[in-house]
Amino acid sequence: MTLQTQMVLRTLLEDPGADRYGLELCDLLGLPSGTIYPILARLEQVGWVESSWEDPATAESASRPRRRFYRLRPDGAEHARDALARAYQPRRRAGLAPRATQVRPAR
Amino acid sequence: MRLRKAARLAVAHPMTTVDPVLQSVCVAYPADAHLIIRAYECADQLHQGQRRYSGDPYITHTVAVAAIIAELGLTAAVVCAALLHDVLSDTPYTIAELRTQFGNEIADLVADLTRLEGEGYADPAARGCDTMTHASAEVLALKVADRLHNMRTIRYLSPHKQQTKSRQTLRVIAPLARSLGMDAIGGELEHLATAVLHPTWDKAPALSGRILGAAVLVLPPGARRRWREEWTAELAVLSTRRARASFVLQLLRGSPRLAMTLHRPARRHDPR
Repeated sequence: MTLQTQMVLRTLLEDPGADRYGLELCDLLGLPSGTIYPILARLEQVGWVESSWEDPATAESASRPRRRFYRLRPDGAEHARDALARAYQPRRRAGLAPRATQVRPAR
Repeated sequence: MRLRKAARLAVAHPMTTVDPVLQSVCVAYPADAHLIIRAYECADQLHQGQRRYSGDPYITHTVAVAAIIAELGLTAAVVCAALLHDVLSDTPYTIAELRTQFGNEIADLVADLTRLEGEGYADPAARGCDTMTHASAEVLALKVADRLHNMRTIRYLSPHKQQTKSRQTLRVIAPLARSLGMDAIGGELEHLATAVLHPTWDKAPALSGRILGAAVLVLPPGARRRWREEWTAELAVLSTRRARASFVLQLLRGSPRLAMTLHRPARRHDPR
């Protein structure tokens, strides 16, 4: 998982029920729009995040077009926490630790 | 035999644009084509001489509404009710005559829709909402289809009426469509109403708009509308030209990756 995806997930996990929009995440994370939207699309595609249009009446009262909102799905939040925990596990580097003996299945 | 009837109808009304649409509707309901044609003939006769604001014969509207209902896959009775939906309010035809000629189911649908329109629903908090919660799904679908065609042809109304109808569409009818599971129609209603109320919202500034258009173009055709709307909305709140330029140029750079993501089948729970 890329560092940028981890940043997006961490931000969404801060308040899993909150609606976030793309530009907001760009500003919060200092990431370019061309990075944020592919990440959001991918997270939506794998089912961790869901998106929906803002209520048009709310947008209307704020005098702007409706936004597309993203939020973590309940099981998506669990997957995101697991994935971030895995991403933090120290990686074994060649030469620093002995390789585990690989047992090959007999043919 | 029934399709031949539809063809005869087309010959009988060669000057209107109604017939190809009606024929398509009849083809979708082969077992009930005779009933649909009878409803059409009745409505055509009753609305004779009436015109839309566009100048088109009034019957073109009721046929368009029937076609929307047919596309939604509702029953032939609802299609007939769509063809006859304005006869009680706009012609001398009575509910008793409607019952005698088309039966209780169609007559009730038309009567309920007429009642719904008569009671008004401008304010969602007002009694109209109560009325709508008591109306059947078929009647509400008729209301939505009626409004959809009216919104598609709204440019012929006065600016004041356009604003009023669009506001009501955004607050009441589009949410109603979505609550009935008609998301595509709900989205189209929102788009049409917003275009009237805020004509500049769906138009990005010239240069940014062109770059945004290029970024959208690499996406799969089915996804373009969503992303264009999403990005145009983001662009609308950026106040400086520099911020807008930066936003769209970065989008342009990232759109091939987004296109790959949208094309690539996702493995569930693997966001790499």
